Amino acid sequence: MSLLKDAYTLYIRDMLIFKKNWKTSIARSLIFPLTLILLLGNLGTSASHIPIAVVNYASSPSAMAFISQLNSLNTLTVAAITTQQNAMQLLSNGDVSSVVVVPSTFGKPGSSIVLYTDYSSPITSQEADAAIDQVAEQFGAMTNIHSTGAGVSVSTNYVYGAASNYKTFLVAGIVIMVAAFGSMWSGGFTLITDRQLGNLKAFMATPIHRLSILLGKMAYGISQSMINGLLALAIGLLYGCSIAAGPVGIIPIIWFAFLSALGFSGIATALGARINKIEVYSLIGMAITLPLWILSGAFLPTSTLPKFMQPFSIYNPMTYAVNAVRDVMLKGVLPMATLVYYSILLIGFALATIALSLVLFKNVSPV
Amino acid sequence: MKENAIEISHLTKKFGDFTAVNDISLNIEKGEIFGLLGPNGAGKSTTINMILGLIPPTSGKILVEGKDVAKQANETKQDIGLVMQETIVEPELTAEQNLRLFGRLYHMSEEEIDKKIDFLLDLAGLTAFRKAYAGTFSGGMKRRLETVKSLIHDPKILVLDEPTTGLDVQNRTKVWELIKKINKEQGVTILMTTQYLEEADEVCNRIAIIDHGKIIALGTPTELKHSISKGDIIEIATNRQQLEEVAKIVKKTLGEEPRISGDKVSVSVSTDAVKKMEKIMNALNASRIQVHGISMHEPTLDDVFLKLTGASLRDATTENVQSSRAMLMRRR
Repeated sequence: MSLLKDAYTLYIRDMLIFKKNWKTSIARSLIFPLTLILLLGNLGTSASHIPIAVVNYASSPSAMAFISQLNSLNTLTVAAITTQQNAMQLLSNGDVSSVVVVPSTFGKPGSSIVLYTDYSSPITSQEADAAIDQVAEQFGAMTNIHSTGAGVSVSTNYVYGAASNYKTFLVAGIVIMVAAFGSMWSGGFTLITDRQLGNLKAFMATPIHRLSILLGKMAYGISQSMINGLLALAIGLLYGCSIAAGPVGIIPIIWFAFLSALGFSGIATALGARINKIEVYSLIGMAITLPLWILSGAFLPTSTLPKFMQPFSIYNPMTYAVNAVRDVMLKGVLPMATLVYYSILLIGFALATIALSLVLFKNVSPV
Repeated sequence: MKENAIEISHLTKKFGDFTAVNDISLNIEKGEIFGLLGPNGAGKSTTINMILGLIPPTSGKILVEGKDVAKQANETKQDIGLVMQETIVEPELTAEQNLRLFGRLYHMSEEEIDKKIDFLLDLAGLTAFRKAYAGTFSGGMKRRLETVKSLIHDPKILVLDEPTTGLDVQNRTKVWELIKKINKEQGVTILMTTQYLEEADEVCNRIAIIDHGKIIALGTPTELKHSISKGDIIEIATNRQQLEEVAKIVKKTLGEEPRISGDKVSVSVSTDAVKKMEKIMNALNASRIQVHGISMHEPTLDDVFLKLTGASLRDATTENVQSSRAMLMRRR
């Protein structure tokens, strides 16, 4: 098959160029996932030394133990304040994130601590409250006191059950999205620069089928995607994410990253076949990829999207790729039926975009 | 009768309502160096793209080495080598990699490619730079590599689109030497476009001038030059305010209709050029008109071009080429 052989020749050419500039190329691939994972991955997880104020009305040893336990946490920095009024002043000034009031009845049955929280900075306060709640529960277990009585407002509104997993939640989304976008920003992009520099014309003047140019570009885009996706996954794992399904989970992750890349390589080459300005390509590329990204639930669960957007996320093929990887990384199980169903959806998406690309590539302009 | 490398008959290309190429018929003989000249948008590139099989004609037929481009594009493409206007050797690939890429695209075996690479690098004087990245080459080296790259598959015809644009005089000379060598030693037919008319004059066996999609002149450089004037051309440079007045005086003195372009008034004279120039000078002196200079020369292709198309080729193209070059530099 000379079609495939020519496609391979052109693919090798792009990869040689990539190899020549591999340092900058890899650095460029790293920046995006690195920034997102380091910045956003920290949300609600690794905050430390959140200032809180404690007003202690009890003089019992258990109250003292409770406060010193709070103080020993890395998450919190505890300031002992004598009156509730002063403490509330600190809270309203924003000097502390929460105020814990330990009642004089602390340690006796039926008593409860009271927690006042500044929710204008929700992620920090959730973090602090979660820590306080945990310590209070420990004490409840030890001394038979239920600390979750009236007045304790502790948020337990976490995605997938535990706050520390947001990092993994996010990484799953980012792996898929950088894989999908890798195709957009390499395969289609180089198609346009090749046209601008005259390479496309030179290729088309040789006796190769023009579809081999398309296949070569798609293969190059997918390679870049997989490199980007695996780098993002590696960053995530180094940064403390885990794959609940174990090392074997890498296989479905790569599979779904590949399917996403395949679909987007179709979009990229379809755009590149008809657009000859980088600026226009970038604009349209952004307009397509950014909404798909947000709507796929890569940052936040799709259930948190406004109601009118929900259908968009259902018809967004990326949603399924992100869900699949998230199931593998967070839950550790991806039933075969789900895997097949998601795969079929994504393959269908890829076939549609590739068909579009084939049609547009028939009359691809050499200049 | 000589055999033809390329036969074009009644070739027309329309883009919507716009007719880029309008019923062109042209034969390019085997072994000749043929120049296709014309202002921007005249239809040169469209014609070449159709010869290369990159875009289909609206009507008409092109035969390359006797084969129909519309029906046997894969065969005709094997017969043609293309040297592009912009230097398109890939800067991130080595000289060898650049050549190998195209050897493979022309479906040559690796052994053939290896042999050919040695030969071509030698021909271009780049053997020492085999493993060097083309990005480190000077403009002239890049263009030489690009030129020999187009020979990798032993084409019978070489199509050169502005092969020396953007090169300095020394490098232009080297590229022309290479092209002439290829033509002479390997019998490769050359079809080229250029904006350097003096080069076309020197290099080309025959020239066609194309404007508004039609061939308006065809012949050897000498034939073309003699077609506009058997004798010489007198040129008077003056300031713009006086152009009309100078033209009037010239007409009154010689009875010939002068042409005005830029800040010059020029007139063709068939005989007694020196005497006629003297007459003009006297007439100008009598009218107390100050001129910057007055000169006399044999007609050049520039004069032919000016007369036939009403525009100087250099003026029309240089600006455009430079701006597109600058744009590409930015993107790279």
